Amino acid sequence: MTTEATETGDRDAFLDRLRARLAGGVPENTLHPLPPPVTEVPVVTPTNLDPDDLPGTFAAMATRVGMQVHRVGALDEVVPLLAAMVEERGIRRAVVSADADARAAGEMLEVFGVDVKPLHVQDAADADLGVTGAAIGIAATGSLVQASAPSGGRTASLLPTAHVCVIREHQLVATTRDAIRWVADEVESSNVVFITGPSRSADIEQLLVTGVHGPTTVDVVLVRG
Amino acid sequence: MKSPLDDKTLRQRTRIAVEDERLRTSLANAVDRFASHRVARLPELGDADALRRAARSVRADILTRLPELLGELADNVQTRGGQVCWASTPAEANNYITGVARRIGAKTVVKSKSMASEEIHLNEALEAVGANVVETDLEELIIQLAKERPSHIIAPAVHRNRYQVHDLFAPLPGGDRLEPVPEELASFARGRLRMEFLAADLGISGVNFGVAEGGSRVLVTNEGNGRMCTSLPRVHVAVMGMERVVATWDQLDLLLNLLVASATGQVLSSYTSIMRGPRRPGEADGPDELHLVSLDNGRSEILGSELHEILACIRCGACLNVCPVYRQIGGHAYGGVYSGPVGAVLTPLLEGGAAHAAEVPNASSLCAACMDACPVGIPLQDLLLTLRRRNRPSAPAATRAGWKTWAATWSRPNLYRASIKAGTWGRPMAGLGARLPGGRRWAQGRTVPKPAKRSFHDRWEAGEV
Repeated sequence: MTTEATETGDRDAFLDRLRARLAGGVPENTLHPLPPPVTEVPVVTPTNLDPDDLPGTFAAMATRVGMQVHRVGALDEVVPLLAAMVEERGIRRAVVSADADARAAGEMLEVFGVDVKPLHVQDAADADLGVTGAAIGIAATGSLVQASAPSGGRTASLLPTAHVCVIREHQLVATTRDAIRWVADEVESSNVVFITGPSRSADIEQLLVTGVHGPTTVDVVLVRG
Repeated sequence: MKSPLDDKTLRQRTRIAVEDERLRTSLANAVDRFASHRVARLPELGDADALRRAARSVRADILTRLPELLGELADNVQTRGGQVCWASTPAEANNYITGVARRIGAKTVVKSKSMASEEIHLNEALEAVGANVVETDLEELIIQLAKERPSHIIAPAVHRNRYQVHDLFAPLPGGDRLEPVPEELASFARGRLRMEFLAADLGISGVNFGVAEGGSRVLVTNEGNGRMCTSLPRVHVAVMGMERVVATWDQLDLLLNLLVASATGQVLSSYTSIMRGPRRPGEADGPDELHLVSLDNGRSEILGSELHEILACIRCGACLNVCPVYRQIGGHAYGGVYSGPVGAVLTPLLEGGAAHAAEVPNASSLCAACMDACPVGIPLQDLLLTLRRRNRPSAPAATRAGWKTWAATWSRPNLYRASIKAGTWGRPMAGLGARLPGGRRWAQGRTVPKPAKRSFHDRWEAGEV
């Protein structure tokens, strides 16, 4: 498993130095002693989370973090939204991730004369719009969770100026804990990203600017059921 | 990076900062926002104090198991196709990374913000082997152009306003047409950096958390440059201060929530990237090669010492935002890579040889606002006192005698009252002490208090209060 070709430096010397430092124990801070050890790491359950209405919580939080949420009864109800986007933002080129819902939305875009391509880096860099699905969504934080294996890559939600993500209500989990445990089992993907809002920066005088490197807008289509 | 401030004393650097009106305006604006957003967000997490207590305990447990967890992380990274470098010193880390750059013939190197790489001066090392290093975080780009060090852990260019950023961008191709408007400046950076991302051969990032049981690295960014640096170039090198490891996914969950809430008060940062390995078959992007550099650089000397708990820090910057000293002087006055209370502890430990390092623990009022803000409950003020004791195990005899007399006087009610009376009588002479040779230095920047005309005791006895 561990071969010389993939490891550089002296692991044993490195770790033995740490072991030697720890061998004598750690001095106690008597003014501010450590709290008792944790047997189970507490779950962060935000006060805004309504466990009986994950779609409602998700929609509220996704809106709060700066994404536009469109709740629809069925996927084909997304057509007017796409039509409006194409017209208002002059979208001509789109890339589509490998998720089934994204491909379906991609076919709708083609009807409006948009040049729709599957995900390749250069095409994504040239595209005005990236259309993706999501593996799961996190209600408590309004996050979209994308895994590189089912999406066929990472950059459809990163390089284009606008991002549209299709997610279904049954894909929602309650907390970040649920999502991170899902990630733990998602061994097929080389990368998982939680997207919580558009690309943003407040680096110049704390004034919020969106679309610094990633998409300026994120539109979430939340499909019932 | 060498700075003109390096040759100055803490007192001189402080004076320069305090007299810089622009700096103090930018700083106040930024830290107030960070601090107020944090205070608004934490209660939304539920019982935030209970979470922070748990987090302190979790981090303490991780540190005592560090050798085991680092080994587990390294094994799991390699199982998933990554490569690992054990770097005890900055030179070992830089040699490894420049070796990778040379092997793949890297011309352009894109970097997302990494405090560990600042520590080892990686940019200079890469430039020395002919690579063009581009900082891609907007603020890091700003300080790279200004040839400065970061002045805040999560907002490295917090000391610069839009006009200064405009001046820095103006000499760049196309920069002369820019107006000093944040949207326009950010959009200019986007266009410029987009080309670099697509052309880069090597991407370098830091690591917010290394998850031992998952062999995964977690990176938290808002702009998306972290995702670019770790997705587009064919080789990705992650530089991790060795204490950034967590044992389990559950621990990651707790610490991630606390990190973001404490740093910016956001629900989550725009992008939380969990990187599990190189690109898989069927994926359109992602690096073919992935390296994890596990950096010691003096950290093992802290382990097991009376300053051990500083290694629990998760680099949120909350202690900077609430520190009455940092809020006035900003990051550069501390003279090191890390500033604020955490920097005042870390700088002497990580940059112990440097002239500026030893006196930094004095840049604190010991008010403990830092401990109150710390998501993992590090008693920073205790650690600062420990460092001060190390610098000066005992005060000069005259000072000790002075404090002893004071303690003896004020612990006896009659003597206490007599001394207050003496102070009241001596009122016209108040301020004299500040003009004496020893007092003058103390009184610099302080207003010497004037005793009241009548003491509280006298007024109490007269029934006036």
